Formats: sequence, C-alpha cells, structure tokens
Amino acid sequence: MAKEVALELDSPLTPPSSAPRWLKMLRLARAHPLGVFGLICILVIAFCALFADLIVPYDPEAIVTGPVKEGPTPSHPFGAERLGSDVFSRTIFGARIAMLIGVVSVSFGMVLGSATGIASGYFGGFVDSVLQRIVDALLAFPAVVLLLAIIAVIGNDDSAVRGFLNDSTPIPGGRWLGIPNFLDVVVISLAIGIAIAVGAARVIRGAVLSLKENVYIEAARAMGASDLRIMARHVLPNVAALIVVLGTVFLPISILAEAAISFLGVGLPAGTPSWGSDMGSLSNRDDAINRGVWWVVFFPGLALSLVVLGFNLLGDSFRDISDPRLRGGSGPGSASGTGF
Amino acid sequence: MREYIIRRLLLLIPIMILVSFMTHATFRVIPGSAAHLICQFQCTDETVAAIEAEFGLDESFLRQYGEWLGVWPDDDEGNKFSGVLQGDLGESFINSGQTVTDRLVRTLPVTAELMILSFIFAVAPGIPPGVLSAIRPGSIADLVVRMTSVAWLSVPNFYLAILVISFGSSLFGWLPPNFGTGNAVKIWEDPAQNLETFFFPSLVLSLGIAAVIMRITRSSMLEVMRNDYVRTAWSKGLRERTVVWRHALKNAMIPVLTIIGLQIGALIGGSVLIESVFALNGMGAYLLSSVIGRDLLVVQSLVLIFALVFVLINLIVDVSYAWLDPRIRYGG
Amino acid sequence: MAELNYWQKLSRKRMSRRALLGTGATTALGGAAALVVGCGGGAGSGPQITSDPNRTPGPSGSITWGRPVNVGGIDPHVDLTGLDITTLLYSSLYSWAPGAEATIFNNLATNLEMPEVTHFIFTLRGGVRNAPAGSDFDGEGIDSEACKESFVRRGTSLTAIDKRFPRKIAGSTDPNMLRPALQTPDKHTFSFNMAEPFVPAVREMANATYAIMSPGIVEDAPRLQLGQNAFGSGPFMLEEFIGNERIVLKHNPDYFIPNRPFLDGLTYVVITDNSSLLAAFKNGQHDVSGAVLVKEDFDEFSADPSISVARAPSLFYPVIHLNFRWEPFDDIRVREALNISINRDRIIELAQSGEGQYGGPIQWPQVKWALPEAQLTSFYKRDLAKAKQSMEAAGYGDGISDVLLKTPRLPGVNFINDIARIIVDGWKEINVNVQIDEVELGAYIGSVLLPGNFDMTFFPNLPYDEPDRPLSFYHSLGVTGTGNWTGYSNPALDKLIDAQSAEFDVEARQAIITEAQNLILDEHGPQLTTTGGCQYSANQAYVHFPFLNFGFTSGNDIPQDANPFGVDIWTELTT
Repeated sequence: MAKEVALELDSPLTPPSSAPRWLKMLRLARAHPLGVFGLICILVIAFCALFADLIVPYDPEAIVTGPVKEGPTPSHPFGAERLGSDVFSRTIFGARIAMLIGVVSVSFGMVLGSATGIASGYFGGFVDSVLQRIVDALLAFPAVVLLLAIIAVIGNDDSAVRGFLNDSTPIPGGRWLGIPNFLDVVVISLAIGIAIAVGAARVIRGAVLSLKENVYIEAARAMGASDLRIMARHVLPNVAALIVVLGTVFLPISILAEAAISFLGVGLPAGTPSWGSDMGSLSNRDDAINRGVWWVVFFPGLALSLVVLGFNLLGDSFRDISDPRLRGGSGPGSASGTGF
Repeated sequence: MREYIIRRLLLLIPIMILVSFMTHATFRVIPGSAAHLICQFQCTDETVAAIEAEFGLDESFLRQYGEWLGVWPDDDEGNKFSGVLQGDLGESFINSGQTVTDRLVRTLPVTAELMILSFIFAVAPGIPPGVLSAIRPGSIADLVVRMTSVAWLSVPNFYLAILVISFGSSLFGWLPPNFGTGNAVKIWEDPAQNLETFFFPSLVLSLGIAAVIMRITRSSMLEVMRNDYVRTAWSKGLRERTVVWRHALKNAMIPVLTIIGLQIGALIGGSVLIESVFALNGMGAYLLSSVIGRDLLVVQSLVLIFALVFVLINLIVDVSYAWLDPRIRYGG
Repeated sequence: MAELNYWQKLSRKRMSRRALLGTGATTALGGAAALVVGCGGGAGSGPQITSDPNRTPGPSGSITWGRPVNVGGIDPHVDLTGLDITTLLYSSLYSWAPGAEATIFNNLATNLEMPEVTHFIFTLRGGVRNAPAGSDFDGEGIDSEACKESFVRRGTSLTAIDKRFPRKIAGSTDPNMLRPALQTPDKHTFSFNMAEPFVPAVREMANATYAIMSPGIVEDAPRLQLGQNAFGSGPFMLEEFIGNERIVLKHNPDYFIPNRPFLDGLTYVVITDNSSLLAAFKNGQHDVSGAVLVKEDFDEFSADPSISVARAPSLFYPVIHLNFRWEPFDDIRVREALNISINRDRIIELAQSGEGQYGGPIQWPQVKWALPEAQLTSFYKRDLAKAKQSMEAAGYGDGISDVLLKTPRLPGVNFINDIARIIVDGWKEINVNVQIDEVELGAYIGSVLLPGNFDMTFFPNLPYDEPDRPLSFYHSLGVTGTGNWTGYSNPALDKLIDAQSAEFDVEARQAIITEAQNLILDEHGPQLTTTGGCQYSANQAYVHFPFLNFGFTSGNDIPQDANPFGVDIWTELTT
C-alpha cells in the first residue's frame, strides 16, 4: 500500500506575513480554488453524515415512499428504487456510513500501525526483524486481495472476532445511529483497518528509525526512563504529525475500499444504505443495466466520487502549499495504488 | 547487478514461505462452513465429518499445510508429494473434481491480457500529457491535464464500469462487444474479436492508473527541470525538444517507474472488480466467486499466486530501477 | 455471483419438469387433473407461450443458453447444482408432468406394473446403449442391474434428502441391505417391494437424481470423476465441462429415441450475475435467456416479435420460520399477530410484479393440493387492529423490538432481501421492530438454521411439485428427517403427514392434506407463508420449446408424443 515515503512536515504553510489571520486564510483560499472546492465537497458530505437524520425526507429503509422505480422528481430528487425507497435519503445515509467506516478504520489502522511501527523501529533487532518480515509478507498481497482475505476470515458470521465484538463489547449488534447492522460496519472497518495498518507501520517505522538517533532519546534512556515511557513521551509526539497526515491519506482509501467490497457483495449486507451496496446490489444493477433505472447506481456512485475528489483536491492543495515548487500535485494522489 | 538480482531472488524465498504460511493459517481460521455449503440442508454431524475427511480438513493444521505445499506426502493421493511446489494447486470443493491448475490455465490469460492492455492504455496517455503539463506549468494545457487527472483519479473504476454499461445499455442499447459470451476468444485465434472484447474493460481499468502516471510524470519532470544540468543544457542554447527528451525525461522516469510498479497491485485489485462487472472469466472473478463460495483451497492457492506475481513484478521494477539509475547502489 | 444456492436453481425449474408426457399417465397418481393455473390475469388465464406452434420441428443447429448458477458438478446422484444438465446426459426410468402430476413412460422404462401400491415392477426398454459407440463404457447396456446399482448409489448418497425412500425399501440406508432388496429377475425387469406405501417415491424416481448408469460406471465412480465427466445414455453427450464457465453438450447419435434430439449441440454459458446475463441475452449473445426475469422484462420481450416468451406459476415460496423453543414466538397470539400483519399484497405488488397469489402451506401452483385461494385470502387478510389486540393479549402491547430476522446471504439473489424488507416494513405498524441480519450461507446453514439458532429466519423453502415436501417442514422430524429446525412438534399433525405419504388414493390423500393444512393454519407457525408469484422465460423466436410451460398445462391437452426434456428443442437455424 505504501512504501517508505519522505513526507515534508516541517515546511512552513505560509510565508511569514503580518496580515491578520483571516486575511491570510482568504489569500490562501484565493490561491487554491480547487482545494477550497475539495474542502467544500468534504464538508458537505461530512455535514450530511452528521445530520443525516435531519436532512433526509424519508427513512432510508422505508419502502413505498413514492412510486417505485420513479426517476428524479422534486419530491424524490434522486428517484426511487424498486421497492420505492428514496434514493436521496439512502445516499445521504450512505455518507454517514462511509464517514463512519472511514473514521473507525483509519483510527484502528493508525493505532495498530503506529504501535507496530514504533515498536519495530524503537526496539530494532529481533523484534524489528520479526515484525518487518510479517509486514513484508502482508505487503506481498495486492490490497484488494488482502482485503478479500481478511474479510473472508473476520467478516464471517462464525468468526471469533465477530463473536468477541458481539458478546464482550458494548457495540450494538442491531441498529445504532440509524445504521442497520451496526456490528457489520464495525467488522468491515476493522478489516480495512488491518489492511491500512500494514502500510502505515512501514512508514512510521522509517520515521522512528531516524528519530531514535536523536540525543534526547539517549538522554531519556540515560536517565533511566523505561522503554514504554520513552516511546510514549518522546517518540510518539514526534511522529504524531506523520500519523495525522497518513490518516488523512488513508481516509478516502478506506471509504473506497468499503464501497468496493460492498459492491462485490462481500461487504455490508444487501439493503444497507451504503453507497457500495447500493451500487453493487444485483437488483439495482439489473434495473440500471436492463431497465433504464440508472439513478439507483448513479447517485450513490456520484457521492462516492465527490468524496474522493474532495480529498484529492484538498491533498493537492496541501502539497502545493507545503512545497510550492510542485504546483499541481507531486504525489500519485491519495487514492492511488489501491485498485479501486 | 547480478549479485543484487540473486540476492533479491533469495530474499523472496523466506517471504514466500511466510506468505504461504499466513495464507494457509488465515483460511484455516474460517470454521467449517465449507462443508455445510456442500451438504447444505442434509448436513448432519456425520456428513460434515465425512466431507471434511474427504477434503483432508480433519487433519492437523501443520499436516494440511505440508500436504498443500507438497513437502508432506499426501495420503489421499497414494502418499505422493503433490502440492504447490510440484505444481499441484489443489482441487475445488465446490466444483467437485476441478483442479485449480486447470482453471488457472483458462483464467490467467484473461487477467494477464486485461492487465497488459490496461497498462498500455495507462502509460501511453499518461506520460506525454504529464511531460507537456510540466514543461508549460500554469498553461491551459497544464490545467486541462491536471483537471483530467484528478477527475480520473477520483472516479472509482467499478463505478465507471457500471456507468458505461448502464448508460450504454439503457440509453443507446449498446453493450461492450462480446459482452456475456462467457470466455473470451484467445488472441491468437481471432485477434480482432479478442481486442474488441478487452478494449472497454481495459480502458476503464486504466484510467485511474493513467491519472496517477500523469501526475507523477508531471511532478517528477518539474523536479528534474530545475536541476543544474538541465539549466546548463538550456544555457547552452539547446532546443527545447532536446532538453526535455534527452536530458530531463530519462531521469524523470525513475520515480515514474516506481509508481508504475506500485500500480501493478492496483491492476490486480482492479481486475477483481472489473472482471466481475464485465462478466469476464478471469482470475479476479475466480477469486471472488471462491471467496463467496468459501472454496478454501482455491482461495488459498489463488491468493498465493497473486502474491507471487505481485512480488515478482515489484522485483522486476526494482531491478530496472537500478539499471536506469546507475547512481543507486544496491547491496552492501 | 452466487454459488449453488439450491432454491435459486430449483425455483427456476427448467429441468425434467418441463418435459411432458408420452404414453400416458398410468400410476395411481395420474388422475389427469384438469389444471387451470392462473398467472397474470387471474383464474382462467393459464400459462402462455408466444412462439408459433405451427412450424415443423426437425434436425437443427446448436444453441447457446445462459445459466445463472455455477454447476458444482454433474454427478447426478451427488451434485444438486446441475440437475438440468444431468437430465440431458443421463436417462431415468420415467419422466414427470408436474402440472398433471403424472408419470410419463417416455424414458428407460416402458411400463410400470403395480400389483400392490408397495410393489413396483418396471419393464425396461431393451438395447439401450449406456454410452456412445466406441467410448469407454460402450457395450454395458442399461439393464436391470444398472437400475439396481444406481438406486443403491443415489439412495445412500450424502446429498439424498431424508432417505425415507430407501428406508421403506430395505429398512435401512446401508448399501448392503438395500442391494438385496432390489430385485432383477431378468435383464429387462427391475422390481422392489416396499415395507409400507410411500407416495413421494413415485415423484422421486422421476428426478434427475435417479439417473440410471451402468454397474461398471457406478463401481468405477471415484476414478471416473463423475463430477466432471459424464457417461450416460441421455440425448446429449458431454463435450466440454467447466462448471463455472461453460458446458458444451453435443448430440448423442446413439440415443434410444430415433431421430432425436433435434439439436446438434447445446452450450451453456455460466454468468452468475443476473444483470450481465440478461444484458447478454438482450444483446443477442444467447439464444435462450437464463436470467431471472421480472414482469417488466416479460412485457418488453412480449412486444418484440423476435423473442418468444413464456410464463408459468412459480413454485418458489418465501416463508418465515419462527422458533418454537422460546419466547416470544412460542406464544400463538404473537404468531397470529405477525401472521396477519404481513403485507402480502405488497409482496405481490413489489416483489412479484403484481402477479401472484397468497400461499398456504402448499404452494398455489400445486392446485390439486393447495387450499382454495378464497380461504387463504380471507384467512391471511391483513388486520392490524386484530393483530394489535393479539399482541396486547399476549402481553406485548408495547410491541417487540430487537428481534433479528436471519437471512442467508446470497450475493446475487437480492429478491430474498427484498421480500424480507417488505415483511419487516409491514410489521412496523404493529410495533414489531425486526432487523434483517444477513448471514453468510455456510454459516447460516451450519450455525443458524440446522441447530435452530434463531428467533425468526427467512428461508425460501425448497420448491417441489409434490405436496409431501412442503408438509415435511411441519413434521417433528423436519424436511431432512433429522429434526425440525424450529423445534415444532405436533403429534396429531405428524400422524396426518405420515398418513398422506402412504395414501395412493388421490381423493383420500386430498382430504388428509386439507385437514393437515387447516391444522397448520390454526397454529400460525412454525412457518408463516407469504405469497407465490410467476416465473418468466424468454428465448429468441427461432428457438422452439414444444412443451415450454414449465410443465404446467392449461387443460387436458397433454401432448401424446412428447419426449424427455431437451430432446424436442429445435431451432430454425440449420448450421
């Protein structure tokens, strides 16, 4: 998923100036209209995710909210699907599911990846060798293949992970936050998180390796601080910025990953108002391809594309600002290398 | 150089052993649902046990691993060593009697062709616009290239695929050529028909990767164009074409190559999605149906093969990287 | 994308059941009933086909047929996912006309004599080649020994349902006990005597699973890999078999019915994604559509003169199973409330394209056995006020929440989820909040359904054109003979179900079955039945299926010269 990438974190965001803060922001926005557009996309989708219940005209799972298979009309701006559910409401709720999966999987992936990366880089030697060989092996799988494999194991209804989540954690098995099958959302997020952690661990380890040589780490050790304390107090804060940057890079990837596996029918269950499930649901595809009911796959996909576009544009602008020499995108883009 | 290649190849061995072990361990964690898929509603404890015995699922974990790998004699097959190492990838549970190898012979060419064509479609329109955009930063052409690439990058390939088919079919009554004929005609049998079949799937799969290549080419070129030797070339009064193509491009290609290598993983992943939408019988679709059908041995062997291919291609990329850039010294 | 979901396969019956009639219905079952099965315009409008019947069939080219399900294997005695194909590769003793519920002696047996209802004596056609000339098993004709070995192999197969049939013959499912109980007085006579009468056996023997293969093949089965290879006496021979991609059959020149089959060859293209399958047919890639069609498609194709369509009642019937072992569904008042608050009209409207009927314990297309539609319509009338009263009486006045409705996860078969969504939506109105919980199929079978680990589960029952099977779901032993998944047990009902399976007299059996069904209705469980719809099919107009109507005839016009399924398909193509 990711190789060792040198990320420039210390570049000043803006040239020093005496102008008031809001004016600086405004100038920045003027200079990067695409970034602003990206930000707006993300904010709109995030707003939809947060206030889905208030925005939607109908319950996303309610059937017969109007004529079935009706095209876009004022009362159903995105049309209605075969059972008469409102596609607009489903798409809005899809934002909530997507964002939730993005946040949960990235948080989990970052925690797991940082723990592995920091331990590996800090201890070195045997621990590093073992952990890095495992990471090597996991990196040998193409991302989608790895994800399918993880899903096959922990997404299974008999799996230990699922059983544990159901029995020993307060995660509701049923509906929560208006999302049916909430446990499924968590399980899928964990699966994506594991795949993310593999890439993150490698990058974070690289950063820790160079950090370790610093004098203050030596000093802390000389003062008798425990390894755990050094890692928590001295190493972690110094890679925190990197972790945050990685997190934002992985966020759209994880949203895409969920959509892709749900699209393939191995992610969230059919009927869940998730973008991927709605695009991939065979009845919807059947209606779209063979019966001219294109809106049932068009709008969920459009929303997904907008989120990814938003993150890409915003990411580009951030890179421009941090390294103005490379105006227009230096990297491969945040959502690349994944196969979606 | 030769030493480097040999060293890399040797390094592959422990990685692949670990990969195979992890794959095996992963798929043994899945509980006995595979047997239930075979006997379905007639399942009793005895039938499940009988089915598991038939497929050797009742043996110890390590022994199953050994038999699958081919380092332990298989008592079901006359105590011969027959496993992955001997080229025997096992048999499907669901399609009784079908060997993975037989199936691969048919699906591998489909996926390989899809990937190669997508690769060509990605590189051909990816590099020239990237270069163009870099030598005229801020121009209209640059803007168009940047906008196009970010748009291509943002539209998921499976969404694009479904749009192509839905709108084509419902608005124009059009479908990709030979859609739904099941197995693609071999390229050596009828090249025209074959290419026709693969054109749209490959195109859809390639766009995202083309966008990535465009972007990395652009930024890499920008970087290189600022180098002293390029400035020197300019100051010598060389023509732009010479400066760009002779001096800058070759060096700018090094990071591009790395990214292309990374995109192979994307191509493999994308093939799973694209094959399922375009109803192509390739390895990706095979993997997906096996995951859904809990066809353990097939999934296990396929995942191993995907990993091997991925690792080998990355190796090739690394080697050519070394070859392109003599400054990079491997080894030591 | 779905694999081997047996209800999808069987609900789309294209198998031997489509074959119709030959030398007349001769068993005690075959009281040629006048069947009028409504599909579409209500009673009277029978199944319909639009192809022109006035053309002369004759030898013709090859056709391509889409297929929505991966064929796991083609061993007729073991594999259940390819029965439509094995029926073309092997022959069985006789065929079955599901609409008329009649046996048709157009296959290996030319006659059946039944001195008593327990005693079956088959006379076999002579000189049937087991395998085409020159092939490995040529020369081992199909004789009574072949019948015996095939019956033993199928009867004791892992995938054989409930095994009551072999038990009634031999008192055991041990092959060594079963073999001597099957008699072969001479090469052309095969007979057995059952301990007690068992009506479903008549239907079972006509299944593709009771294909007859020669003793040499049965003995050599493990080496021959019958899942991938075929050695049969059917109208077609296997040319290529890749179960998840394509299956190519070609004309068997040594088939025992002269000048048949008409087709040179038949190629199945497997595409497990219904949308692609249908698109490919529309695009002209397949001669016969394999896709699951809805009314909209049927109407679209009806308007197209280049396409022939057909429609017939579907035996597929979705039901909810309730667990009787614990609260709240052990309470009949709760079950009644749920039952009469299911929005059946909406299921018909949305999931069955407006063409369907209420279904009782036996599906409506089995008109001979099903309860009258009028009775069902009034019994299942949606009555929310009464449902609320029942809930209150049961102490659930505030409703029930957090119940999981377990459904099997079948990527590609969304209609299950659709119907579940409609049912759950209907229950909201009586404050019963149910959440659909999809479970991966293997886990569903292994850890939800068989061990009875559910409150309620949505499970589309095995469609079958014999009343015994739908009733078995209510038996204490369940449909598999190992126990009822829902924990339901009613000795009175068990007695009735056992009695009907031993009753060869149609009217007496009808009376028992009606009594049993009325008993079931009053229980409001363990299955809540819903509705049944229609199935539609389409093919290019140049392909002719002489007896297309999924085996349902609209009247008594049973063709006299029909042959086993597939033999009479012909096309106007002459390549």
